Amino acid sequence: MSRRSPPGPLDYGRRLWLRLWLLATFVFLYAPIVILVAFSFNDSRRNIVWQGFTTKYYIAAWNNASLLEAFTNSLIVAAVSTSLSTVLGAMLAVALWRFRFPAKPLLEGANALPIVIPEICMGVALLVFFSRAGLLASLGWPLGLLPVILGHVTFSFPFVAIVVRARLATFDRSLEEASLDLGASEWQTFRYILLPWMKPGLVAGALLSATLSLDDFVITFFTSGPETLTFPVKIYSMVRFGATPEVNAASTVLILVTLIMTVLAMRLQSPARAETTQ
Amino acid sequence: MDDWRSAPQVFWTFLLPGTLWLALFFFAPLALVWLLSFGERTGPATIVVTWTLDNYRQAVDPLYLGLFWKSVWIAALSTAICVAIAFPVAVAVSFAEERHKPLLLMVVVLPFWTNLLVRTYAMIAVLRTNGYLNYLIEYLWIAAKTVADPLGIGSVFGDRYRPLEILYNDAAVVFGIVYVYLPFAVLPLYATLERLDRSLIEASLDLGASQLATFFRIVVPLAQPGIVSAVILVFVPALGTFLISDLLGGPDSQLLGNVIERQFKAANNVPLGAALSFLLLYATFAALALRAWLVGRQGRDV
Amino acid sequence: MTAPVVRIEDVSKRFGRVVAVDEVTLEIPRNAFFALLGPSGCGKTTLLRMIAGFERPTSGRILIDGEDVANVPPNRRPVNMVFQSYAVFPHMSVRRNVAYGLEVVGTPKAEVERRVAEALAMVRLDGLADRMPDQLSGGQKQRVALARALVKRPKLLLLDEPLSALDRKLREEMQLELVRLQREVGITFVIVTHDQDEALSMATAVAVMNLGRVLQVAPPRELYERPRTRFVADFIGSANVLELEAVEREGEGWRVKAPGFGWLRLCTDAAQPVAIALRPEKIEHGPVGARPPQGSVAASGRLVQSAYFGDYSRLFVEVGGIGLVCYRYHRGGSPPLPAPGESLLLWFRPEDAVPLSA
Repeated sequence: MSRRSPPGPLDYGRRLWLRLWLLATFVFLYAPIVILVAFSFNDSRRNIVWQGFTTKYYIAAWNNASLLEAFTNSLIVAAVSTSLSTVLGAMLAVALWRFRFPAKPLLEGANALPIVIPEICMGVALLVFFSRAGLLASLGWPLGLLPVILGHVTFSFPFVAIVVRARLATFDRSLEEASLDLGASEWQTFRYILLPWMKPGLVAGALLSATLSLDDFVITFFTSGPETLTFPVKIYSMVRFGATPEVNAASTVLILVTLIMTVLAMRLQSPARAETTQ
Repeated sequence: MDDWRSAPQVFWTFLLPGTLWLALFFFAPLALVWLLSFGERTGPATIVVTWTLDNYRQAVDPLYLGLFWKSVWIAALSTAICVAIAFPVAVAVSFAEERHKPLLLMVVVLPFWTNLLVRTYAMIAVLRTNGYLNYLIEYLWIAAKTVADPLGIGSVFGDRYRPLEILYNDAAVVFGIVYVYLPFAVLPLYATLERLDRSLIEASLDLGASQLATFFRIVVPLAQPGIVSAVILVFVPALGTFLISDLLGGPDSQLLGNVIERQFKAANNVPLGAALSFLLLYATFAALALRAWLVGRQGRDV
Repeated sequence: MTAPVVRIEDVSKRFGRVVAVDEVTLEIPRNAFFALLGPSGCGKTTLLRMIAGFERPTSGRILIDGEDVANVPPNRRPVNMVFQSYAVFPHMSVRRNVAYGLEVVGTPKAEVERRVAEALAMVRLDGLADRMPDQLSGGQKQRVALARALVKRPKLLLLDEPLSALDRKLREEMQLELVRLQREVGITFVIVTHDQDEALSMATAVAVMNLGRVLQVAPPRELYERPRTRFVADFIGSANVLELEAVEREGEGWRVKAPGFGWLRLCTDAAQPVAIALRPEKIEHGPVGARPPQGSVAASGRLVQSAYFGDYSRLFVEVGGIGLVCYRYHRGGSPPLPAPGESLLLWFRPEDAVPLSA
């Protein structure tokens, strides 16, 4: 094996204090989550000192009917809002990518607004809007979820549009011309040439949108009616009455779901992967 | 890129759904709140828009203005801490070996993809009086006392560890905001440092500047767009936070977000809440305009 | 003869498993215009960066003015560099760029001002001191980079492919300018280049590198006329390399057998040759039956193809189963070119054959 060269002046990655800084930051970021997960398996209600392994809080969480209903509802919201925002975001991305039109910068700015404004402003706006529109009060399950779904679509489809547009930016438009030249119609060209190219972007956008939906608290909090049970709101009320291991167990499941989706989305978005997918 | 007139049908088909959605479920609700901010309550659930400025007058009275400044102050402090922690992290990641970078970046952003509530909840377990931070400090305290006792100076530690009150105060709120938004600060800093031409740093060293002088005279000025983005990305959500201050703060660590939430939910003073949330929006726009101006200025200078 | 300004002793640099620089030993004489020449990836830039201090050798020593610089960081080395990308600080004016290296070491203000003005005058940028880098052309940026390095009065100025980003006309102008500057300031210049014309026309000494090793160090003329290895012969100019069929010791020199041409004598005290190099312009040709001058070695060949280059043509001739290149200069009254397939006679003087030992 070759001997390693001593670090050069720009090898900051090999400086001890920077490595320690990085390590400390990672500990800071992960320790609370790791502790939360670890103590969902801890056989003690005070959950401070390790008392032994148990899965009883998972069973308790599973048997907690309202918690389970809230979790199911949140999954429904994520599924429906993801489908809607993927379609809306992808269409907008195609329009913005393909066409030149007046007031385009304005529309692009407007599209970015739901991403940049404080969530609470959007939350209260949707709250007022839906209560005025009478949507919130009257509808029972499953339609009580409708305002939540509409809210989630509103903040996630602009993200999808950004992801899909980034993918489209790498499309070689002479492929379209080649397709038309070979006799395909506009629609066939879209279906057989452009859409397959967009696919990695669509999948990544969809996963992103699902993650955003599951991660959201603020919008869900403001759009859930008093009768609608959603996971964040349920956890919120449980936390306000004191932390319980059931909350840890339920949170762990949620972390696991989002973790899997995030890793998938990142895999799909890494450039090397995007090259080989199409 | 095609002109929209070349295929108007295709253009409208693709453009309209998203645009209409945005108009209906984003701009219409915002406009409604804006209107209500000029309204008066005439009954428990009825509000008449009378174009009164009373709500704004009330929003800037000392009680709420003080609250506004406190929110700004807490957000600014948290942002500063975030950027200070994130800068070395971004340096370490962007100068790491190429094959390690994707993994390191993923490790940085992954916590961001965990539910805000879950992470804030995790913070409670760390910070509360019988939480892990106190547990750790107690452990260190016992260790220090064990060493100090034979030396006869053990008495300075007292005879019993009294847990610190870390949770339910402003410091806990700052701690929570830093914890939740740290990944936001790392990413833009990393992006600018990654684009920074390494030979500029080498040139500075070559010309006799120390590492520290190079950092402050070359790296920081050239990373300015990234620093501005990091500041905005942390400051804006921190300014509007209500969950973190609600769960981690004490009775007097209420921030703007909490007051807005209360006006809409418990207090049911929608016009005042509307005025307050528009003040928050205007502050956000000011921050964004400041960024655009700074980036524009940077673009001209460079 | 004064002591060399830089001594490189058995220096190696590995990046993981890749050996970028392989046990290089080299001396750079004071006041030289020294070129490190080689194809991309040969380790020349790594060697330069080790002298500057940006990379640290895996093994071996580098001495600047007799001092081992292993633990001297780049900011403390009496060495300055002109970067390939110029690395002009984009957020500082030309004047601030040039003053930077003096300011960071606490040079008094008046002196900074004076020396900056001098340096700017030297590279003829006096009028542009307050411009920002994005208002400068590539050539002007390069002058800023030069002034910024020279104002420090280093013992050694390192130039990393300084002309590669310039267009041809500007490049030729800068070549002359660099030679003038080097004479004017009396600082040793070390230039890294992959362009042999650049190295040959500017440098007083050239080190040819390949695969991390230094193959030959010599003045340009010697390098062209007496290359020692196949690689150098082929990399500098163009050369016909003939693998020898037999080699015998004869007195001080060697008797060797070249394909097609037969036996010839090489007067050299060098190691046993394995091949000879023949520059195309040293090979004469004529019609079959021509009488080559006394003492030259001749062979008959067949013209395969010719390529027209205006003032001359390149002839590709097959001799004894191998291909050779020679030139036909188009002077007034030259006989017409032979047609492809025609036979012709080639000859050269044995002293023009360069023995190659590797």
